[in-house]
Amino acid sequence: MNFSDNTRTHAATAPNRTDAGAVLAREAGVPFQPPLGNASGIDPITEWLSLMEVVQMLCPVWPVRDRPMQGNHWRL
Amino acid sequence: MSNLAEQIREALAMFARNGTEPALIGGLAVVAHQVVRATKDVDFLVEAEAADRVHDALLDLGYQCLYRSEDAANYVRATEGLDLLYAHRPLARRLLAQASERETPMGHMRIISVEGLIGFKLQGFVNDATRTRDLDDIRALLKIHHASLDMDELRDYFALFNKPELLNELLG
Repeated sequence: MNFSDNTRTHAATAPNRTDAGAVLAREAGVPFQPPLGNASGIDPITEWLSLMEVVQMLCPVWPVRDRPMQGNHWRL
Repeated sequence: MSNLAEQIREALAMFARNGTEPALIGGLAVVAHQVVRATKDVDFLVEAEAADRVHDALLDLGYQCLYRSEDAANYVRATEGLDLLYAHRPLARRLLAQASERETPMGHMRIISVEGLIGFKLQGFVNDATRTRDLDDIRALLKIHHASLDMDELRDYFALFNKPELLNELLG
């Protein structure tokens, strides 16, 4: 298996890359943000579904909530 | 279609059968607003008047209710979770009414505005300061959408939770 770093290749082909501060992650943490608007044809929910297919393969048991929501500040 | 997508599609169908059109909030709404990250948070803002019939319908689907108040409810079904916030105050009712429509692979969905989503994320953080994920989401949404955000609306939300200085911190 080849674990070589191909980040540079990904960065060159991705629709848009932001800096790491954007807290956007896919593919081992490489920041990813679909371009704003619909012109690119990239749907973030479709991208998320693809991401979650992989996540669920790697982590089939995802922790679910085991305690109620906290707090008393419901103002919205 | 993944189990997660099936779960969401089933929930959307249930809402439609019960005559209510909730809006997506929480982590998946963050994704819908262009911050693509891993999340299994299925959260909806539901009109308060539909709370009882949605509760019954979720139990019929096999969910167990972990918690329910006039503001929120948490449901689980095996490894699946589903959270509801109830819109009964004017702000939440307005945000629900103004939610945008979106066609998704799981079906027709309504999605809360970016400003409203930030408001709910802030509420989540104020209610539970261990939820630093909420702050990360707010920071990312501010960064991506800064040019189009209604800053007056955002300032109102941060003032509502007595955190006006936090907005400036998150804007960096």
